[in-house]
Amino acid sequence: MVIIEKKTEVFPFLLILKLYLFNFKTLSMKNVLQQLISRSKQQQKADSNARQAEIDSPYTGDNRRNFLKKTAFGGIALASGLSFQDTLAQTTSKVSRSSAPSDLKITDMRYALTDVMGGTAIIRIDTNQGIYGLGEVRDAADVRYALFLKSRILGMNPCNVEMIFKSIKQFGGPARQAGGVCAVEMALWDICGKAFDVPCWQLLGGQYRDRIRLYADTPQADSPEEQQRLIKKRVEEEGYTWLKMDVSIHELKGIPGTLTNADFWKDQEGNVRARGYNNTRHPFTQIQITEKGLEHLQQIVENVRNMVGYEIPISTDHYGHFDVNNHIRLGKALEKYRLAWLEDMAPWDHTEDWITLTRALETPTATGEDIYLLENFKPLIHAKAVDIVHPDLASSGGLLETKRIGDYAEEFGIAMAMHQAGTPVSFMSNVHCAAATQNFLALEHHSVDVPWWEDLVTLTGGGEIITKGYANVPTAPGLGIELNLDVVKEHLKPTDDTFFAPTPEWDEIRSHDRIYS
Amino acid sequence: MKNLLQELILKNKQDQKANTAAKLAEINNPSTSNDRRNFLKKTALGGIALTSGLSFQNSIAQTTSRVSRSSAPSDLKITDMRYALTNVMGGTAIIRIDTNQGVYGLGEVRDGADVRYALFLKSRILGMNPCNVEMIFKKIKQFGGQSRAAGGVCAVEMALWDIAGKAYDVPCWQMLGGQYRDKVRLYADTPEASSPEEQRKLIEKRVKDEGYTWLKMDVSIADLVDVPGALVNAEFWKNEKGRLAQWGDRKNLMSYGNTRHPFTQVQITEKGIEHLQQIVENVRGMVGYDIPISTDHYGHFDVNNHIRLGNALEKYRLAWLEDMAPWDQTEDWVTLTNALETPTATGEDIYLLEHFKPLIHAKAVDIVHPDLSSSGGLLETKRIGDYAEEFGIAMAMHQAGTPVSFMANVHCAAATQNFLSLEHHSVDIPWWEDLVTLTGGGEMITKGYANVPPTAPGLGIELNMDVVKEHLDPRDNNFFAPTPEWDEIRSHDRIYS
Repeated sequence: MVIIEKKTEVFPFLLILKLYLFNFKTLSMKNVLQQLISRSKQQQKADSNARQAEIDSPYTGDNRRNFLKKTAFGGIALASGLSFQDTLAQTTSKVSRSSAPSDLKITDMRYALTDVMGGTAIIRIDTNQGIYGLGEVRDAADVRYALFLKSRILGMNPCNVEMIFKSIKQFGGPARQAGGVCAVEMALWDICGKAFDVPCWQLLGGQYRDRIRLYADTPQADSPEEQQRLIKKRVEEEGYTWLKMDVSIHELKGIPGTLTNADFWKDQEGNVRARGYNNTRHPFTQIQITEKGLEHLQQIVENVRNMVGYEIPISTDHYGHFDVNNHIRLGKALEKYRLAWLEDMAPWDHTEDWITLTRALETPTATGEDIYLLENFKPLIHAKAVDIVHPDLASSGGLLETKRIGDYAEEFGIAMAMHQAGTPVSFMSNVHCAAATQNFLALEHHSVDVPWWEDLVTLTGGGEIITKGYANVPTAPGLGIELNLDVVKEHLKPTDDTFFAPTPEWDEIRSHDRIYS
Repeated sequence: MKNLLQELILKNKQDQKANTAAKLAEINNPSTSNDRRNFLKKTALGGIALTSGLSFQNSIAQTTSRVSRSSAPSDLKITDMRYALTNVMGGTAIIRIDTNQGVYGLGEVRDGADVRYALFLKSRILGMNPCNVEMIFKKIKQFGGQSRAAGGVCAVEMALWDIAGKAYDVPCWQMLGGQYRDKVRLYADTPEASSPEEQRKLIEKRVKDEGYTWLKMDVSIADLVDVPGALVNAEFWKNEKGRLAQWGDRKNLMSYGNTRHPFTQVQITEKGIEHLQQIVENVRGMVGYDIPISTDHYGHFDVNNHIRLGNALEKYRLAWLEDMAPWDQTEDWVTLTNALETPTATGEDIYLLEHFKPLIHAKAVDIVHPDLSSSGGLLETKRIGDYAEEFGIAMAMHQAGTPVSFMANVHCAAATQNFLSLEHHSVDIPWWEDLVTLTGGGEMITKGYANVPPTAPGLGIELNMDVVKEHLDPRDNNFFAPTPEWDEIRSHDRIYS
């Protein structure tokens, strides 16, 4: 059930008013704010100097000089010695410089590779007006998927999000290969929101909710007692209202008589992962689960249900690579636990298998974290082959395409949950999209136990990212975040310590791009 | 052809000597691992004498041994991928895939495609056995896209077949199932000329001197921009030079060239159609009716106007009408093909058989027209031809690259029954054929037909390094330099969970 709240009907001028009020309200967070102000001041000064230098340079073209002047007049004093209120205005001007968006041009794309999920890149797209946008290349995706797009977007107006998306979407592919296109799309919305002083959810059509329900992994533990303690922490202290757990045949390791044909796929340590098991599609392993195996897996779920009770939805995932028959048997064995969903029981592109699964089971089915674009969700949606679509916004095509996926599924009576395992940059992109999409259920938060994760960014509108299992939908423009550069620097992936360094090797288009003749 | 052969032998001898010396040095180097040392010894024992002073016959054996070192294919491993960017068609990269046994393969990244489409695949194939062509293809095909974005995958596939052929001493056409023909018919562009007299002379040269038996020409509304009353709504789309530029505008997404056919609202008037008809009539008048003439590049306008144009050209019995709608608009192709009695063709931008299937299933074209450098390489293109054949659809082959992709096409065309003719886009470039030497000797092209290499292993070519070097793209003078920045996989690749 979704409640449409009245306060979503905010006109732009009210929104601006709200923003100012919000800024005054947050004065109590003086320390943070002063830090922010001081940092912004320094950056602003540097920007201003650079701008002035460029204006004065004889090599600067007239057009460029006009842009620079416009942004200089756009509310930012070049002089120093500002009053406190002016300083406040300047702070927010950094992200709400609603100056000449029609003259905005993309000038650069740079990145930093964080070690979130073993390597997740954050990109920054810069413009000729000092406004920048943040995007994220999906967890474990090559940042070059984004860099390859740089030459295609340089010089374009970042506010034409849909046109740019259409021109680059040919360079995305399934799963991680979509990472570049989605990263750019996020960053464009961020810029666009800042340029027009509007939060991204507003650009997507407005709000259905101002808090986004999250789902979190059940923590793994060595003993049932330890797990009980950890789950209690998750639910009672951290306040999560939706959990997810693995129910995997890997848990049957060392238990004789639970699997058929598993030895063939085992490595020397007895783990089912040799002979290319991980790269063998589900129907081709001939692994089966015995009755005894099903009982063991049932017991794992029963234990968790006993700990958390029935009120909290529990989603499940990662059963293993085995066929539809055995997934149906497992699904039936788990029916009585009223799980929230059964996820990725077959590769997403086997539409017929999904029809079989969904017809056979009375627990909701879900897939989609590797699907790129609405067009590739359509076969599943048209056939009602799943009960829930489960896009990962960093693979599905970004904010607008993911909203489109949700809306399209909605017409067929299919709900949308959102997969997410990245940094706060993609997390907040998801939050904006979830706020603006009605059939949304819950958004994954994969890094609940990573203590520095939330600190990677600061909310430009102030406040907490997450409160008791819900993400707060910001009212600040764009995605409403800026990077906490020190924290990001502390958590770069060791193999690539690039930190928003120039990327001139990606400036030139070296290919003919039209896909028809 | 004694001179040529002796030159070849001499060159190969020198190469071989250098290779052998390098190999020996590596065997003797204490830092060479035992595995590597075994490979080197195996290849050294694979038929190549380490001694000098060979007889003439031995020299010939040695010449061919360079490419037919049928030694230990099961131990072959890919060790490197490098490239050179030629200036054929304004930038066409040739890649070389190296192995641990000295055998290498040549491939080509489609004309006008970024060589990084291939380099990105390097980390995925290093260490794999290049002879498992299909397995490697399945692994990397997810990284290909439509048109130029398929260039990397196809380049690698060609190079793998080249290696596999050399490793087993078998020509590529044999590995695809054998030969349907030993000469592959070519189609060539009609030369552009400033006057009808000049054009007649050039066409005569093309047909009589050069011997081409199949021609192709443009019938384009771009030629009507200066004819008053020939077009509707063309002013709106003209560029600053007053042209309807179908090509070249990469960044302006709202330009005429980047607007799909149904969205321009350009129409051709009766007068315009008469002008276009006259262009075709002139050429028909010059070459007669026996030679098939294909046509292309009409412009970006809708199906209605393409049907009107097609109807006006019916009496010239053209070989085909090409790319009259974007290939992914299947329904438009059904409409066109049902309305017209001249064969229709599309496909040069389609990647993989799976994307040809909608057109084939609907019999939406009379001819599929893959570009092997975009469609998926030798085996996938043969599969496309074979699949079309089952539906009574013929296959012509689009090609505008260097002799590397040209020869890959020749092998595929030799092994595919419903083949009609293969494009040769560079007939008038004097140094084009010299970019490679046929390892089996002989001419690449004789009187409008490509000769299928009868026994030379692999693709049957090696690069003529000096000629390639003379024709590098000025933007990138890299010449098979190391590419270590592409050694590492930096992404999770599985496309399902």
